[in-house]
Amino acid sequence: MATLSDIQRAVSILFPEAVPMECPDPSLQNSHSFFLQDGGGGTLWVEVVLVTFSREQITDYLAQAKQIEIHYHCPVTGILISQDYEPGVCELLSLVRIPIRFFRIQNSSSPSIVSSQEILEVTPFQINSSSKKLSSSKETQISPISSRGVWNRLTREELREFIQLELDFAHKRA
Amino acid sequence: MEISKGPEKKLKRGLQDISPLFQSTAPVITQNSQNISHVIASPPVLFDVQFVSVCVPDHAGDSFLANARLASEIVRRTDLSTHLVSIVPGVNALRVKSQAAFPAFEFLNPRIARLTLSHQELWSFSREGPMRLDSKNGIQPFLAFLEFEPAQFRSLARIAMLLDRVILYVLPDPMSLREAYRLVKNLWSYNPEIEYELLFRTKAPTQKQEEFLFERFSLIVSRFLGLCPDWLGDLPFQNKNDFPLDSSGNTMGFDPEPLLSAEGLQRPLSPEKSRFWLELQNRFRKRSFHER
Repeated sequence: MATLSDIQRAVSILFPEAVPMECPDPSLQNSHSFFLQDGGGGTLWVEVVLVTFSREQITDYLAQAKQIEIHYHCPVTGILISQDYEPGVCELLSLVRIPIRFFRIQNSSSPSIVSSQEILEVTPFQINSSSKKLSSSKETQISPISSRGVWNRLTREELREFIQLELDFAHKRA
Repeated sequence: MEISKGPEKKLKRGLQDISPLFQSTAPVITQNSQNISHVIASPPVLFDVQFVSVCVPDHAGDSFLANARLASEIVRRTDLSTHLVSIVPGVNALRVKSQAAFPAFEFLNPRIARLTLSHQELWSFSREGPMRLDSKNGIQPFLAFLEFEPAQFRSLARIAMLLDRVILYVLPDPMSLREAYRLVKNLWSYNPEIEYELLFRTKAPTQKQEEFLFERFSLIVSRFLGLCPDWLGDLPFQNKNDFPLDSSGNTMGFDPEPLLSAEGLQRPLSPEKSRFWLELQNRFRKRSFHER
């Protein structure tokens, strides 16, 4: 199983010009994220999720991104590295203001610790075509009236408004 | 009865006039630390004919319960008798046989009569013969809850044309509001005259959170669809005894006044609504006579 150090080593290979940064605020620090400064003065916020990134995690993720922007006073690019993504998550996150790049952890059979964890950048299309179907019992019993995954019933602007609403509501509850 | 829907109506129901919702004349909205402060008489009923539907956009299968819940709350607070019209697929000529899945007519309580119709029967109402409007005897307020599951309809167009108001019975969270918005957008594409009300089916931890959600939802709906939804407060779906009641036994926090007013109702009635209303009146009168 990948550890954070494995991921850090892999990321340093992917972004050779980026240098590690200290976290400006201890409250933003956790065991599965780290910060890099890219060559252009921006901040790369690398968040590692060793399970499937679900829709329920989106709100917290966006809230944290906003906090990081406030503390660093500079544009932030999210580098999200996850074992897998729930359908629809990447489409939603691709609509927000913060640029986010998605990576998937691929396990290889190589015994070497560094190369045993491959990190591949993926697009939402690639994720949807290869990810497993979500089939929890909860979803078969309770489903919204609109068809699942028919995101195109709402325009991008409408979706953006509702994502912002989720984010703002999460702040209000906190 | 003509009701104009000019800019003054929108201003009145815009966000800057949200205060009447919190100063509702519905039975008791404030209480002191010990008990209920006062009881107000039942709100006046001002409409003539109204077709309403309570929709649960984030949870399929609860349409009947939601509409019955609201109908029971309305009859508890007013002198109205209400009608619940369940529209279901696949129940047509077979209903006349003894193998009907459920009764076509029943009283849920002495003041809520339920009629079950198939899709085919519903559509046939709008093609009935010439209208026979009898305005000489005046119009008794007629409130019908049209209960249906949108997922079972191939097209919502026909039923959308019959609706005056849609109550979005949702959880106080953004995901539910997004599903509500989808439904609103769908119905709005068929009938832009429908009025929408938001009603939370559980309480948020604080009143401020509910206000926040309604205001933002209202902003989004207003911006993209040009609509001005009202807010009816919150009405628990289950475990209603866990929620504070006033001395009349009514659930606090629910304001039915927007439903009882004629504001926003399009008049005169469209031909489809007129025929539907007449046919329903005939059906309910005949069945009431036999059932009683």
